[in-house]
Amino acid sequence: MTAPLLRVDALTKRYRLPRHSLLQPAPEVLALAGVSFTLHAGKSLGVVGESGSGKSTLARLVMALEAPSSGQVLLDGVDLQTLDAAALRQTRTKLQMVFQDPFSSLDPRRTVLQTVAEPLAVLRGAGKAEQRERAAEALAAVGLAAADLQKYPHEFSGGQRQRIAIARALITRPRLIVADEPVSALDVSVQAQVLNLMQDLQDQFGVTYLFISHDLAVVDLVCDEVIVLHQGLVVEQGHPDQLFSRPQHPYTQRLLAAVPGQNPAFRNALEHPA
Amino acid sequence: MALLEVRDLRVTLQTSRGAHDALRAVSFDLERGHTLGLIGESGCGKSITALALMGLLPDGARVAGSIRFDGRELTTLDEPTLCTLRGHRIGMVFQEPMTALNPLHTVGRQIAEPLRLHKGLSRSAARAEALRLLERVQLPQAAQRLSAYPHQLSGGQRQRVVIAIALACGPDLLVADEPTTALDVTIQREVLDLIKELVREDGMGLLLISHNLAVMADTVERLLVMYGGTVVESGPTAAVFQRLAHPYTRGLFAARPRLGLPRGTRLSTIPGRVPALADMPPGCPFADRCDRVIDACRAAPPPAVAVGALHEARCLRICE
Repeated sequence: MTAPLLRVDALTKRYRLPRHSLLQPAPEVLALAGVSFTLHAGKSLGVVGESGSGKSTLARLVMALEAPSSGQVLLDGVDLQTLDAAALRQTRTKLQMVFQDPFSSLDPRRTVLQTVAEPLAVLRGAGKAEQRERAAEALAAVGLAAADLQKYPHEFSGGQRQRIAIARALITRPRLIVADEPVSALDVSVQAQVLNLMQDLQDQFGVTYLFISHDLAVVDLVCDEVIVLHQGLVVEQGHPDQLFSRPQHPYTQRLLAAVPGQNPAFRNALEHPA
Repeated sequence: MALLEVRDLRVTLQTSRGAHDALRAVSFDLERGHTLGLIGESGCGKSITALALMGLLPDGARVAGSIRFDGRELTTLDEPTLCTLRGHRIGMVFQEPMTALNPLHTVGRQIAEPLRLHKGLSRSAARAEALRLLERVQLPQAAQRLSAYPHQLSGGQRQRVVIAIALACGPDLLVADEPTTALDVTIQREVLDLIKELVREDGMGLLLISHNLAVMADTVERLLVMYGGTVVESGPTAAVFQRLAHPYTRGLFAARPRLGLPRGTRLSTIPGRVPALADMPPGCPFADRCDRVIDACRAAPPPAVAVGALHEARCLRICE
């Protein structure tokens, strides 16, 4: 077995809350309470859980946007927290992120070219010609045209904007893409297009996804392995087929029981799709 | 006479590219004690339908056709009269409970407000009623929560407060626009169960708006599928899912990721995107994205064709 691309080891994160009183110590909340997992190159790991489970904290720690209270995030065996600023910047070309809402994650005053090429300019100091060429490649990979480079975000639909956000993540040719609820703000028909695209990109470029979602069906579709987070702890971990058909932990069982659309008319229709 | 009768409702909005129809010839009925769902994607007109019912359309919107609520025509009512209906006979629940609530007022005061305004209750009577309502929507520690502010509650608790406000005056019609979209699945289940139970107990009519097919399957008896400002398919919920008569309904259904699909399955997609209001074609609004399209589809809007009992689709090429 090859070494994993990403290893997360006993990761904890505490946040300090505002003090209730000057005389008392500030209360703390434990957002992550010792999370460990490994993720191999070219695979997808799904993280499911509800609000407050620690999903987004995990994303920020993996992206080295915040420092853990304890524990490690190792990318290719290197602890991100031991890197100095220059080395971290170098490493960031391997790590990219796609956010939930493509309406707020793109700057409305910047053209698609400026947005998509920014990681290259910032992380590698690439020249204008290279930026334009690579941005056109990235757009082509997500199914947009080079002519779109000069346009602004408001000229695109939600699904197209999410494609632009994915192009921005792809442009550094990252090893790992952290996708935090990448399709939950999209309409159903558009969601399907973006999910297909993300799977195509994995086949084509071998990218690795840390895929955070509250939608169990989405995770089931795109992930090789799933962890279920609840109150900062991994309560269950496994292959999606097994985990979703035979959940062991009461919390996973509760999550699955709450999935809508379990009445007979709807389920029968599902079994005989068009 | 149905509680709500909508006939040939047409709403014209001012856009940056001129005046365009956001709703075209939408008709439906909703009886007391029954549940109706409007489903569709962004821009299909489902929220505009709800806003039209409540007289909350944006400035410059023009309304044609008829909305009769309990025998009374709403489209011609003046604003003061509409105010006596909204929050009184018609309760509303919106998607985002944080923006629907006023962050500066306590929960108790916000629930008491419609009671004081519409029912003329005294301060103490309204507070007592607010407590009863909070208990009814199963908010834990209701008595203490009366003096809480919205930020002190979780998303699910806030939505229960919004539902309590909507129910305060005992409305005949409850309009819920994506009431659980901002909530976690376990909370979504609780809130939907609560809404269903309240509708059953009070005999209200429920108009539920959602983009989620599965939520609809669990909650409403009758379903209207909307696309491009028109109702493309309507029928009893179970029959709609069984038949999937309109190509759009079928496409929407097939595009859903669902539990149990093998890893890497390609989802079927609907090519293209919803046309902007200004680009809406003269014929079937779905024609440019439909894989069954023929020339006649583009010529004129297709008529409604019966495909079953109380079940029809606006399509020339109905799926078998």
